[in-house]
Parts: sequence; C-alpha cells; structure tokens
Amino acid sequence: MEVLILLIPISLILVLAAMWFFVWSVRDGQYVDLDTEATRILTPEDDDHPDQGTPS
Amino acid sequence: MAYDTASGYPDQSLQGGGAMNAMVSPHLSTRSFSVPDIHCAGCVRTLEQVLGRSDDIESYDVSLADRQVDIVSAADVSDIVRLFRDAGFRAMYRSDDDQTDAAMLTRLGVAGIGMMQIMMFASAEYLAGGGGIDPALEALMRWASLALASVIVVFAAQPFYQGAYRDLRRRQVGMDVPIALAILGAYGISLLATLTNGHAVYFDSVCMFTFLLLLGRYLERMASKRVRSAGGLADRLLPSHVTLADGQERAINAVSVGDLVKVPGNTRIPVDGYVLEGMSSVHEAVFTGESWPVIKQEAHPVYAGTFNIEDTLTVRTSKPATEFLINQLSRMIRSASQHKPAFAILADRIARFFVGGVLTIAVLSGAYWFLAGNSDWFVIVLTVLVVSCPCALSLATPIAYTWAITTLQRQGLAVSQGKFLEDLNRVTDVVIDKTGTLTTAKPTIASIQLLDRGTGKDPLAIAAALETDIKHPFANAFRRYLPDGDMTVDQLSYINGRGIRARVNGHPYVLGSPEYVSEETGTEMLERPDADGSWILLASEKPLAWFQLLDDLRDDAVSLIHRLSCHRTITMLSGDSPREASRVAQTLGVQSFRSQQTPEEKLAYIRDLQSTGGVVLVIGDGVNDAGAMAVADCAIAINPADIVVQASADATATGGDFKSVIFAIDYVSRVRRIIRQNIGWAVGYNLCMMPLAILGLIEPWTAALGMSLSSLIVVLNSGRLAMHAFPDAAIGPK
Repeated sequence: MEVLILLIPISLILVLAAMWFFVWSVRDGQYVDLDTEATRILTPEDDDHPDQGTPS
Repeated sequence: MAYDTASGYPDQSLQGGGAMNAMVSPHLSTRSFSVPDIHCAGCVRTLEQVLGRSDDIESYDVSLADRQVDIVSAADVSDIVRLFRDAGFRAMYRSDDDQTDAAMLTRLGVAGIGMMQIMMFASAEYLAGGGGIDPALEALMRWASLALASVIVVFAAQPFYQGAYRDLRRRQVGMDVPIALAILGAYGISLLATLTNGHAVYFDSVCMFTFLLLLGRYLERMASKRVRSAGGLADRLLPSHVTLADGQERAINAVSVGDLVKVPGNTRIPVDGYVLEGMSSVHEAVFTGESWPVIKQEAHPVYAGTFNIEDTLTVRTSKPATEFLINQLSRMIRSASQHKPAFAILADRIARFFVGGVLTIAVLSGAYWFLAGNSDWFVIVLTVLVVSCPCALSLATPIAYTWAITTLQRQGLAVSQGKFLEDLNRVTDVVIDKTGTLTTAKPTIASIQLLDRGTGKDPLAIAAALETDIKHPFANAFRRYLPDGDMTVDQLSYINGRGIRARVNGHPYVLGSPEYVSEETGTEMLERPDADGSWILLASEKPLAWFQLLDDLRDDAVSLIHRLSCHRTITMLSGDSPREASRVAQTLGVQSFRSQQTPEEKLAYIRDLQSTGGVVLVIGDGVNDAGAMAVADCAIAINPADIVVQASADATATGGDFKSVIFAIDYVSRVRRIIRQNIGWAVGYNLCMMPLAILGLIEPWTAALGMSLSSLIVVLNSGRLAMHAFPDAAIGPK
C-alpha cells in the first residue's frame, strides 16, 4: 500500500494536466461549432452555397 | 367577388412597412444585450427596477430564458453596458456571447474532471469505513481532495458567488444565495476537518453539487441558444459589410437611411429599401414562404435577407439596420420565447418566497440541533440549504418553452408569440379563411367561354400579357400562357382585387370582375356563367371571353378539419360567392360557412364569438385576414402572401401545408403536460426531502446529488418535447 503515497500525488498531477488540456481545447475554440463538422460529409462541395459569407 | 384575395401588391407592402416602422421613433433603436448573470426571477426583478429608473431607457424586455435584455434607447451601447455594470450585471452587446459560452464550458469541464478524481479518493474512504484505512494515507487523500476542491470552489463556482453577492447588495434573496452559502459552508468545515484531523470531510459533496449545478445551467443555456440562433436569422443571412453604390464599404449596422446600395444578381439583398434602378426577380421565401420569385422594379420595396436572382438592382435604404424587417422578425421570434405563462409567473413567485423560507428553516433547524447538542448541526444546515434549492422549479417552464418553440419551428411553424402555446390549448372556435388557406390560391384556368372574336387575337394570350407583372394568385394561372414575344403592354393600371386595365399592342383591354369591366368600359354588366369557380371577364370595347378559374384544395385540408373538429366549432369565412364557398365547405365537411365576407365582417364575426366566451383561433393567409388575426385569441398564418400578415399572426406555417398546424394542435397539449410534470416534480421533490433534511436523515452528498438530479430531470423531461417530435430525426433537421 505504500505505493499509494506515490500514486496519489501522481494522480493529482494527471488530473491537473487533464484540466489544463481541457481549458486549452476550449480556448482553442474546439467546441464552438459542433454541428458543421457533423454535416460536412453530406455536402459534396464546399462552394455549394456561394451566397453565404465566410464564417466570422 | 372574383378578385377577393388581396395579396401583397407593392402599394400594400409600402403601407405595411410604414406601419411597422412607426412603432419606434427615429432616434431610438432596439438593441439586445446578453446578460449571463441573470439566473432567477430575483435577478430579473432587480434589473427591471434598475432599467425602469433610468431616464435614458425608453423601454426594455428582460428575458430569463435567454439571459437577454432588449433595450429601446437612444443612449450609446457603452452607456447601457455601464448601467448594467453599476447594477452588478455583466452585459454584452450580443457578439461577445461566445466568450461566455466558452467560460461556462471551461468551468463545467474543470469541475467535472476535478469531481471525478475527488470521488475516487472519497470512495476509498467510504469502502474502507472508519479506521479501515491507514491514517497517514487518509490524511494524504484529504489533502489531495482539498487541493482539487479548492480549484473547483475558487474557480468553477465563481458564478454562484457573483450571483449571491449581487442579490445581497440589492437586499434580495435569489437562488444563488443558498447555493453559495452551501458551497462555501461545506468547503469551510471540510477545510477545518482536514487541518484539525476532524471526523468527516465533504469535498466530494461540494464538487458534485457545483458540477451538477453548472451542468444544469449549461444545458439550459445551450437549449435557449437554439432559440437565439433561430432568432438570429439576420446574422446568418446578412453580410457584415455592404458596398455602397459610390464604392464605399460600410458595416451593415452603420448603413443609414438614404444610402444607395448596388445589389448584383445572385446575391442577398443586404438592406430594406426601395428599388431605385433596375429590374430583377427576387426570392422572398425567407419571409413569405412563397417559393416563386417576385419581380422587383423601380419603387418596389425589397427586404434585407431576400435573394436577388438575376440582375443588378440599385436599392435606396429606407430604414436603419435595427429596423430591417428581418431584424424585427428575429426579435419577434425571440420575444416569443420570453413569454411567461400564468403558471410560470406563479412558479417564480413561489421560488422567491421559497428562498427566504428556506434560509429561515435552515437557521431554525441548525439552532434546534445546536441546542439539542448534536455536533452535526452545521452539516444539517448545509444539507437543508442544498436540498431545498428551487432551481428545478424555476427551470420548469422556460426550458419546456424553449424546446417547444424550437421544435415547432423545425416542423415548419414559426411561433412569434409565446402565448400561442398556451392559447392553442384553450381554443373553442376555429375560423378559417378559404382562399389561399384551405385552398392553394393557385387557381388554374378550367375553361374559356368565347363571347366575341374581337381583334382576332387569342384572348388567353392577351390576358396572360396583362397579368404578367401582377402579383395576385389569379395572375399565376395566366402566366404560363404567355406567348413568345410580340406583346407590348403599356399604360397599365391595376386596382387591387378588382381588375386590370392596359393597352396591349396599342389596343385597350380590361380584365377583371364583371362589375369592374362594366365600370371601365361603360357597357352593361354581364351575368356570370352558372358554374363553379371564379369567373373573370376580358373585354376591349365589348366583352371578349370568360375565364373559369378553379381553386384546388390544399392536400391536407381535410385532415386539418378532421383534427380540429373534435371539441371545437369550425367556421369557414370566404370573400367568395356562396356557391364557391359551399362547394369547398361540402368537400371538406365543414358545417358552417359564411360567404362574401369583407375583412370588417370577418372581424365582427370574431368579436361576436369572443363576446359569448369563445376562444378563437383564426387560420388565414392574406392581408384581408390580418385584421381578424390581430383580434383573435390566437392566429396562424398559412404561407402568408405578404409580410404584414406574418406580423399579425402568432405563428406562421412556412411549409405551405397544414402538417405543421396539425402537429401543433396535439403538440401544445403535450407541452402543457410536460410543464405540469416539471412543476409537480420540482415542488414534490422539495416538499418530500425537506423534512428528511431537517431531521438530519440525509447526508450532504445525497442532498447535493438529489437536488441536482432533480434539475436534470426537469431539463431532460423537457427535452422529451424535442425527441417525440422527430420520428425522422435520422434524416436530419431542415
């Protein structure tokens, strides 16, 4: 059981790393638009709607 | 009358635009602010007080569901934001919204990840039981939990402290007060227990409570975002910049009245205004659902968001960007989701008293247990606070409405008045317009009776030439018979709903109802032929030909009548002749109908029904129904031919059929049922758990889990409103 003395701090570090990566992914805008990517496969060409402006 | 459906001929659209414009005086503008700090009815009240006191603000609308405030004011954006800030609210001028989303998600994620690890530590302690674990290890795990919990309490739970601070500063008690007290209290005693090696820590409860509350708020925000994005038509359809005719670039919001904009073919028209130069077909499906493009030429109104198909138009802007029709519609859709039904207001009021009551009960039970010598008295106080949080109660209605409005919109019914969801349930009398509503208003020419050879030209070709530019359902019937070339029409005059007079190849012609023709040509009025349908007369010096036009029923008109007829009386009103009206009524199985109705008579009939206690639903399409729709308790516009009609209806069926209406009739009763379930659950849960918490029978972590699950149940139960609606969800929306 002594190994826990080592494992518990390691788990803390891993969790803090997970939090950091999550915050980074949010800041990176990875959750901004989850719908477009899902439907992209359905549109054969990107210039399907020439009238739409570029996403801002 | 032959030309009974007055449709959106330019003159009327001009009037309509003017009428809408008149609602707001020129110096004031309506702006939307996202206020993420609105959490409960208390916040709304606070804000309303602050905004009401300010002299700069003409009127305002605070929405709990959207966390949004619409303000009509002449003041600068920065001044309004400062006003909010002084009241303790962050306000963002719409576009900063995404940042708030990101911040909420960050807090949620951090709380979630931290909570999971703390649960790991806590479960070891639960499983091992008292003394079953090496004291050194136990202390280590407590310190590790403390570290993670500190991150969550300090960082993730911030919104609750801000909310509570704001409430307290205003000397009010909102829902955030007990939440913040519970979080800080439980964290405090756990911290103390860790430092002094006390007997229990509640880090797991604190973190779970925080996480689940954040999750509830995040889900709620995402749901209302769907409504916002539906309302944000303008953002999707309009470009951010326009190029003026003189080559200048201008931000869309900076376009002012009188600016000239060149709109090339195959692009969207970016402004509301009138055509100054050019002629082109414009697709107005965004507004009217009309799938056929409309010809626009000089002096015709065009609307931002509609699609210019062929040639370049020079448009003179007639309104500031905030008053563009598309923006007005967006606001209409959004304000629909802000409506609070009577029981939602009741729920808010209960929640308000509730919080005050809860604090008192928590203090009293704490005092009792303290005096009774129970060492856990503080834990009991916390548990009471946590258990009784009325979050679920105040979520019960807004979230169900949010889902309902989104779902109906996807089904092809754009609800612009939230009240509609309530009223449709109570409808006792249904009044349906015939032409254009029950029938397609896309008549076809069934037969021609020749009266005179005239100039020897084909009468159908002449009629088609006359009707070329007329925007009336009857005109469409003729248009396909237009001959190739060799027809010049000039000196055209059109009397809406009656007829046309013009010269074709230099020869004068009149086309319209027999009354109109006899007035215009000074000849004796002819009797209509004795047969079904509408009859239109073509004449030059003398009558030339009769055209028989028959109007087809909409595909699902029969099933609509069938659906509506249970427990409701149906009346069909028509401007048409009794014969035509009775033909349609018989086909559909409608018992009662009234023919040759003027718009005023329609209105009077509805007032009549209402005076005998009826709740009236009007289903109509044309400008001649707009008055009736405005008076009715609720109104649905079917594929309105004109934009003005849409404004007077509570809901608009955009698909051009009754499927969405039939759907809505059953759906609104489901909405009501779900809201009742939500409120029943929320109240019931609080009433059941409260005594247990006061008696000290519940652990803080059970309370945290139960309270948050209660909110989640309300959120998920409301989500059923979306699930049931999409049997074909796999095919995808739209």
